Amino acid sequence: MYKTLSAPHIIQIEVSAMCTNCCQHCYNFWRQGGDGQTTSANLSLEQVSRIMDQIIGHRVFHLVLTGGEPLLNKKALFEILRRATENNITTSVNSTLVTLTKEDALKFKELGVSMVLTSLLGPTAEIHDQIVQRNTAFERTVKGIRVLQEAKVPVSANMVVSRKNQHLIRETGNLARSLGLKSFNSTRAGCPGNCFNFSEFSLNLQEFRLYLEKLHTFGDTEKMPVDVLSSYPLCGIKEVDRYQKFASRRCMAGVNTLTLSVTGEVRPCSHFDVSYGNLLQEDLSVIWQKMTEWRDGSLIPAVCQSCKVLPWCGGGCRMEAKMRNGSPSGLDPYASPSDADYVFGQLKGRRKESSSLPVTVRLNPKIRWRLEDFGAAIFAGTRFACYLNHKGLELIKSLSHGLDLSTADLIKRSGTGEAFMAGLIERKVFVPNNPKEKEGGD
Amino acid sequence: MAKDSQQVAGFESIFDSGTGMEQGQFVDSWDDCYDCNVNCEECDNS
Repeated sequence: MYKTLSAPHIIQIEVSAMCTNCCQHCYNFWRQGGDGQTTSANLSLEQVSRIMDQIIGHRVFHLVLTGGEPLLNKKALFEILRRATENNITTSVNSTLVTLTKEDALKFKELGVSMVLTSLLGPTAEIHDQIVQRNTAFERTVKGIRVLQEAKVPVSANMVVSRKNQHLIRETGNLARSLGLKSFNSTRAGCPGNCFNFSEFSLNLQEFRLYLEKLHTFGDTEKMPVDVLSSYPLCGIKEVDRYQKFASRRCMAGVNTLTLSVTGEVRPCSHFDVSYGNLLQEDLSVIWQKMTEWRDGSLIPAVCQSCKVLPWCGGGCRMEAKMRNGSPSGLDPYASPSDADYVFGQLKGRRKESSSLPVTVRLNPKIRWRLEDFGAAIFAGTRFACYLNHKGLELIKSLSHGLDLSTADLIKRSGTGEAFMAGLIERKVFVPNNPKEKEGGD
Repeated sequence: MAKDSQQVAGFESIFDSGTGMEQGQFVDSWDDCYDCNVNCEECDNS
């Protein structure tokens, strides 16, 4: 189904298994019990050194430093950030911010952290602290957001939505706005791997759709960008035209991303509870090859295999399927196959809006590429841009940074046509060198 | 998400060749987002 890349694009690294919070919905299945105690494992500096050697050697593009709480293992966290920056690997950090200091924030800035993501689980201390099971957590997180903003480190917030707080989406969004955050993200709570009755937290399909509507309406009425940070089955979303942004993510676990645990175990994603090898004992490429079932379609449910929407959808979350429907190849509990035809009708009806190409462009100074057997994977800044075949790659390789490039000449040289050039501009591989053109002005 | 109806020369799909998913209406697989934990609005390339 999917190509096997030489290595993942993105690796999430669990820097520490300890956490300042003990979220009721926490997806970290390895967290011990519900007694407020977490495991005490930390990545050591020696382990960091070996892990980073592999990550650099395999030309991974981006690292997400997470946990547990990564700031509870600052030595390892800052060493990873240092080596990543030195090797042109971009980074972001997921943190509760509870222990963040001004010095930490300044180090994030110095080391080029592209984004810090934290959780806001409600608009008040009462609900947030209740969910994270820690007094004063809300106050500390809000303070941490302000400290990051003062240090000019981009910060974003995510609201994990469960039955405990689904009625507070608008209010929490308003809090995010009042804190000066540029956008508001939200993700449905997923069943952790050590939990066999998540019904107290899991949204049902009707509640799930209502959650999407509330999030969309908040963004629409308040003119604030909203997003979801995980992939949902499109037949569950149903209104994919209304919620285009929410419908634009697919599960890429084991396809272009994976998660590394604090003990070196490699999993296809942070939620999934099966290891395919240990990066402290094996080469990344060997472990990556063992994840074939995540790429060959064998984990896609039978109902989805024959679904016309599958190429856009990917079949939803395999961990939710495992925990709530008994098998990683089961149906995502938010899937609604009877709505697939309705979804397909919307997708088929879409038309690409054509716009005139700028006269001249420049190569995005932030592009990076990694050779693959089919050509190359291209990143523009912290964001995946596209895959190119050998012909497309040859064009990019032949160009120099900082030069004005004639669009017409590029089309002629590449022999690929206007659509290729338009795609490269859309994906930020090329940027218009005239700010007015970039803004769509004349 | 899907926007094109034709394979665009120069680009490559993440879908394996020969599956049919890389062709025609499925060309835009290379336009997919993935779980990068970053809101697209806040991405430095948005």
